[in-house]
Amino acid sequence: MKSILLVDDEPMVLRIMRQALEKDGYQITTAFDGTDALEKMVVSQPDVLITDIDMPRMTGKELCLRIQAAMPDRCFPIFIMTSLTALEHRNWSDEITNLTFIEKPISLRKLRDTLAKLAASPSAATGRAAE
Amino acid sequence: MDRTRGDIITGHCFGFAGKMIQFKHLKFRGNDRLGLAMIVASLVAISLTVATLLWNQKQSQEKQIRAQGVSLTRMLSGLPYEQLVPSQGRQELLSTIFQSQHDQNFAYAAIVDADNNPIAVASAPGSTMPLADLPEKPGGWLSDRMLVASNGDTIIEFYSPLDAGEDRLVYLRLGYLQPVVGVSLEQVPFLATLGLIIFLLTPLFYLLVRKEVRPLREANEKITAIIESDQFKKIDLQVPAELTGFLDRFTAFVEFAKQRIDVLENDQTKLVTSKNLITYSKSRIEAVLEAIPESVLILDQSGNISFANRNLTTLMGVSHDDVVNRNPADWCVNQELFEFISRYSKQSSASRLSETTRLNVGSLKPKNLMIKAYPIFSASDSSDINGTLIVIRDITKESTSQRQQGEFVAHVAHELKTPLNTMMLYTEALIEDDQEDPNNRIEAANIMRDEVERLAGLIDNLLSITKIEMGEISIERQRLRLHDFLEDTFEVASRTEHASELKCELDLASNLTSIMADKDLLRIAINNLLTNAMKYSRPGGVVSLSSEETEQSVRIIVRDEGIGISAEEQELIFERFYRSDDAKARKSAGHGLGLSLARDIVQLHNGTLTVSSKPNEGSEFVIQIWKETGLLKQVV
Repeated sequence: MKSILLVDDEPMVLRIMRQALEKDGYQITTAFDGTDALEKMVVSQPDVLITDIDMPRMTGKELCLRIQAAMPDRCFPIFIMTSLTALEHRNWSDEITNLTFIEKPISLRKLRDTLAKLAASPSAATGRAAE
Repeated sequence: MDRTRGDIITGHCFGFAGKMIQFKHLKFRGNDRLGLAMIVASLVAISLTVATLLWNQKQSQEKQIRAQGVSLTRMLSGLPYEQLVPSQGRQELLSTIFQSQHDQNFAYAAIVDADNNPIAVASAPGSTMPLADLPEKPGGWLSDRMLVASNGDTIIEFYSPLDAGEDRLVYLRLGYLQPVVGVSLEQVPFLATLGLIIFLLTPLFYLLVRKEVRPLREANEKITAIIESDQFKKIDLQVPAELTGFLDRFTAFVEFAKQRIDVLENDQTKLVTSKNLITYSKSRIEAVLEAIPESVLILDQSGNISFANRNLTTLMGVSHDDVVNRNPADWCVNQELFEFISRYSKQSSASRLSETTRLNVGSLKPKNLMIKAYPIFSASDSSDINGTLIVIRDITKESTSQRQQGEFVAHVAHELKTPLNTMMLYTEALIEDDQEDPNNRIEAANIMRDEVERLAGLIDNLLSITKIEMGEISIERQRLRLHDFLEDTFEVASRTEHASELKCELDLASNLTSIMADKDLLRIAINNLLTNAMKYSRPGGVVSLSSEETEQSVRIIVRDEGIGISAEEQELIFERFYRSDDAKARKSAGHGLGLSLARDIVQLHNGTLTVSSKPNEGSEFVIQIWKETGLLKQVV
C-alpha cells in the first residue's frame, strides 16, 4: 500500500483524483494548498506527492522548495501539475531532486500507469516518464 | 547783402530708398556772412595799416633823436669848457645850439656840476629838466638814459662829463622828449585816402569771390535737389576750368558711394533674408525636436550641449539652463549615460559611427533607456564632424508592456487549462466508470457543464478585453431606459446557479432616468459585478442591485454580504488575473478578469467603478455614470 499526498485548491479535482487513485489501492491524503500540505506532512510523510502549482497562501513551487530545504535527503517522488509549459517556468526546479512535471490537462490513465510503474520499480518510473 | 534762395538748408536726410544712409545736417549759410566778414576784414586791414605806419614813424623819430643826441653830445663834450659856459659879452653856446636845432622834440641842454647844480641851461618852453643823480665816477664819456619829467613826459637824456679845469668835474646833459604815437593834422588826409582805398577794394573782392563761388553754389543747389528727390544723377554744371576737375571727381565719388551703398544694401538684404531663413529653419527643426516623444541632445564639437529638448530635461530631472551650453559632467548623474555621451564629446574614430545601447537607470524608479547616437557631418565636407545627435528613448513602458503581454498569455493559458483539466479528469472518470453509478455520472456531467460555462465566460471576457485593449471596440451609445435594463440584467444573473442559495434583491426607483450607454458592454460590466458578488457570498446571504440618481449622475450599486475584501486588496482586485490569496476567496472559481473588464467598460463610458468593503461583512461596488448634463459640465 502506497500513500499519496494530493494538493490542489480545486475541490472537484481533488475529489475525482482521490476516487480514481483510491480504486487503485493507494492511501490518499488531500491538502488544499502548500501550507496545508506541509502541516499534513508533519503528521506523516507520503510515498508520493502530487501537487498543483497555482494555489493560495503557498504555491506548489514554494512547497517544493520548502521540502527540499527541510529534507535534503528526501527520497519520495514529487509530481507537479502545471499548465505553464515553457522552460522558463520550470527552471526553478533544477535544484530539487526527484521532481516531475505533469502537464495539464491531466490524464488520469497516464498518471495511474506512472504510479503503477513506480510501485513496481521505484527507480525506473521516476524522471520524465510521467509526461 | 544778397540773400539767395536756399540760404539755409539744414537737417535734410540724404539717402537711398529713404532709409539707408544719412548725410547729416548739410549746413550752408549765405553770402551775408561773407559780406560782413569782408567789411570787418577791411576795417581790420585799415586799422593795422594805420597803426603800422604810425609805429614806424615813432620808431624812426626815436632813432633819429638818438643819432642826433649822441652826435651832439659827442661834439659838445669835445669843446673847451669856457666856450660852453656863459660869460660876459658873448651868448652862451648852449642857447645858440638849442635855437639852431629846430627840433620839436628837443627838451633841454644843460651843464651841471657834480652836485647837479646847473651851471648853464637852455630849455624848450614848458620843458623842465628832471632831477637825476649823475654818477660819482663817470663810467665813460658818453651815456644815455630814460627819465620821467615832473610833467610826466618821458625824456631821453644823453650826458657826458666835461673837463672844467682845476680838476673840476662838470656834466653836459641833453634831453629830448620821447616821440609818441599820434596823428598829426597833416597826416589825416593821407591816412584817410589810404583807408578809403582799402575799403573800396572790399566790394571788388566780394564780387570776385561771389563770381568764383557761384558754380559751387549751383552745385550745392543741385545736390540739394538730388537729396530731396532721393535719386542719384550726374551733376551737370557749366563751371570754370579749375572747378571742372573737382566736380567731376566729386560726381565720380558720389557715383562710387552710390555703388558701394547699393552693394552694401544688397548684402544687407541678403544677410537679413538668410538670417530669417536660418532662424525659420532653426525654429522649425527645434519645433520638430520638441514635438517628438524621444529625448534629444545635440553635442557640439567641443562636447558641450548645444540643444536639449524638454523631454530630456524632464527625463533627467534637470532644468534647461543646467544642460544647454554646459558640459555633461555638470549635470549627468548617471555614470553609464555620462560615459556614453562622453565618447562623443571628443573627436575620435568612435564618434563617427552611429551607435545604439540600452541602459537601466534610476534606483527608485528604474527606467529602461534606448540610446542612439548619430554623428552630424558638415554639409560641405562629409569627412568633417560638426557634432553628435543623441536620441534617448524611454522604453520602460514598452519593456513592461512586452513583459506584461507575456504574463498575460501565460495567465490565459493557465486559466483556460484549469477548467479543461477538470473536464479531462471527469471525462476519463466517466469513461472508466465500470460500476455505472448514475450519481457519479450526473455529478460528472454537472461539473463538466459548469466548467464549460466557466470557460465560455472566460473566453467572452477575454475577447472583450482584447477588443478594448486593441481599440477595436467602438462604444455604441444609445438611449438606455436604465430601470428596464437593470431589471433585465438582474433577472438573468439571479437565475444562474451561483444565485441558487442566495437572496437576490432589486431596489430601483421607478422613474429612473435614461442614459446614453452601450447596452451590451454595460450589461457585461453589471453582470460581472453581480456574478462576483454571488460567487463570494455565503449561502443565504443577500446580493442586491440598487440605484441612486442625482442631478448630474446615476449610481448603480451592487452590494453583497460575502467574505469581503481587505483594504490592501481593494485596489488590486481590478488588476487582470488578480486572485486573492485568501483561501475563502480561492474556493470560488474565478478567472481574474471580470472586475478588470467591468472597470474598463465603465471607464469607456467616462464613469468610475469604486469598491468599499470590510472583510467578513461584505462589499459594495459602485458604478457612477454621468448624465449628459453632468458630462457637459465636467467637460466645461
